[in-house]
Amino acid sequence: MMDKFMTWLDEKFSTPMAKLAEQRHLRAIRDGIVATLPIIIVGSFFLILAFPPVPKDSAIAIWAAENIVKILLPYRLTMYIMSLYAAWGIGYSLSRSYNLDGVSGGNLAVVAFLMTIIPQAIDGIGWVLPMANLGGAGMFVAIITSILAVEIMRLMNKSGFKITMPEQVPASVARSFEALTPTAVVVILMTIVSVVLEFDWHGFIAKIMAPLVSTSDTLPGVLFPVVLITVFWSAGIHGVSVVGSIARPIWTVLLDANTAAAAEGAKVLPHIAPEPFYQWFIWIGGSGATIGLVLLLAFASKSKYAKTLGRTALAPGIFNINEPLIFGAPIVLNPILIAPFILAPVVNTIVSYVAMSMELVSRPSVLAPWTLPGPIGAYLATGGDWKAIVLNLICIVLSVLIYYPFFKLYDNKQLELETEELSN
Amino acid sequence: MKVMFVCAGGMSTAMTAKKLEEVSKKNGVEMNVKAFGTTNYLEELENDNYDVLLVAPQIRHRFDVIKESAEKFDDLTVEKIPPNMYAPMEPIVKKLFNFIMEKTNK
Repeated sequence: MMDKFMTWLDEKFSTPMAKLAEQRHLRAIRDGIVATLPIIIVGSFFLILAFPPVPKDSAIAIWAAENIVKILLPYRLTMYIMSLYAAWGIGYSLSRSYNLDGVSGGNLAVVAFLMTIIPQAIDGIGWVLPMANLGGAGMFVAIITSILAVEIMRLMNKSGFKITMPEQVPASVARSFEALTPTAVVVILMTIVSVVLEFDWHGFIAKIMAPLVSTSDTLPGVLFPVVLITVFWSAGIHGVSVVGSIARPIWTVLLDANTAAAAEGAKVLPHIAPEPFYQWFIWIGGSGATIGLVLLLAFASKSKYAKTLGRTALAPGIFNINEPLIFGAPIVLNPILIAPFILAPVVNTIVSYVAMSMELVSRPSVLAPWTLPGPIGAYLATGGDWKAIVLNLICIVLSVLIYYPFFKLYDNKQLELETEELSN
Repeated sequence: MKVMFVCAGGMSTAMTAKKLEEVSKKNGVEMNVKAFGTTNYLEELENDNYDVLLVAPQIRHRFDVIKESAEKFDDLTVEKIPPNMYAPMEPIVKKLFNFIMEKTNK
C-alpha cells in the first residue's frame, strides 16, 4: 500500500508537475529572477549598514543616521529597481530558449518594461523616471512585458518580416539590423498602449495580483508551498526550484515591500513571509528542516551507516545543503523519514509565523546568501535582530525533537541490517 | 575521462564529484569530474571537451531539455544519475562509478 503510494507520488505527481514547471516561459521567469539574486543580496545588505544593530546612541548609529540617504544609494540602484534587471534576464533567457539572440531579447524586454513608466519633467533637474515601479512592485509588469517583447521578436522572426543583411556583413552588424523591425513594433505598440491610451499597467496588474500577494503572506499561504516543496523532495525532485518558478516573483514582491519600509525607518514591516522567512526559520539545514536529522545522525546514531552518513552530511547541512542526506539516507521514497521531513517544516512554519505576527521577532528585510549557517542568516535577514537567533535555535531544537523518534526507527533498522550482515 | 555533473546550483554535486574522482582513482581509472549549475553548464561544455554529462536526480525533470541542448556535442554520453547512486559516500559512489563505466563502454 505504502509502496504503491510512493510509486504514485513519483510517477504520477512529482515528475509530471515538475515537468510542467519546465514550461519555457516559467523557466525564463525563474532564470531571469534567479540572475537578479546577487544584486538583491548585495543591495539589501546596505540596509544593515544604514540601520546598524548597535545601540542608538553609539557613534556608528549616529553617523549612519546622519548619512542614511547616501548609505542607501547603492541599495536604491540595485535592489530598489530589481524588476529592471529581472526584465533583462527574462528577455535574455526566453529569447535564448527560442534560439534567438539573447542580448537583443534582453534589451527589447527592458525597452518594453521601461515604456510602462512615464518620465516626469522636474524643474531644475530635467526629466526623471519615477523609480517605485522599477522595483518589486513592478515585477509582474516586468514579467508580462518581457514575455510580450520576446514573443513579438519571435513572431517577426518566424514570419520573415525582418531586415536581412547580405552574408558579407559582420554578424554583429547583421544582428542589430535584424532587431530593427521587432524593436519598432514593440516601441510603437507600447507607445500606443502606455502613452496614447494612457493605460496604467502598474495599477491594473497590481489590482489583479493583490489577492495572490496578500494570500501568500497568510499562514495557509506559507504552509502550502512549504508542504508542496517537501512532497517534491520526497520523490527526489528539487522542490524549491520547481515551486520557486511560480512563488519567487511573489516572494520578491513581499521582500521588496519590507525592505522599502525598513529603508523608510518603519518599526514593524508589512509582511512576514518573503523568501528569507522560509530560508532561516523553516528550511534550516535545507528543505525539510533536516538540521535536526543530521545532528542526530552525526552525534546520536549507533549503526555504522547512520554514523558515516551523519559525518558526511553534517558540514554541508550546516550550510543548508542536504542532498547528501536526501539521497544518502535516503529520504526519497522512504516513508519513515518522509513523515518528519514534512512535519518538521510545518511545525517550524507555525511557530515562526506566530512569533512574527505577535511582533516578538523582527520580520525579514534582507536577503542573506542561503548557504550561511542558520543563526547567522536569521540575524542578518532581520536586519540584525538577536531575537531572530533565538527563534532560529528554537526551530533547530524542534527539528531535533520531531526527527528523534523517526531517527530511532531508522537507526535501529540500519543496526539490524548490519548485524544480519555480520552473522551471515 | 572528463565527466560533468549538472544540478540546480552546482553545489551539492561538487561533493559527489570529488568523491567520484577518489573512487575512480582507486579503481584505476583517471576521472576528471566537475560540477556545474543549470545556468552555466552549457558554456562550460562549449569551452572544454567532456566525455560524459550526468544530470543530478533532483533535476531529472529537466533531463529532456538538457539532453536536447547537448545534442550538438558528438561523443558526449548524457545520462541521468539514478537516485540511489547520488550521495558522497564510498559505497554509493562506487555504484555510480560502475554505472558510468557501463554507460561509456558501449
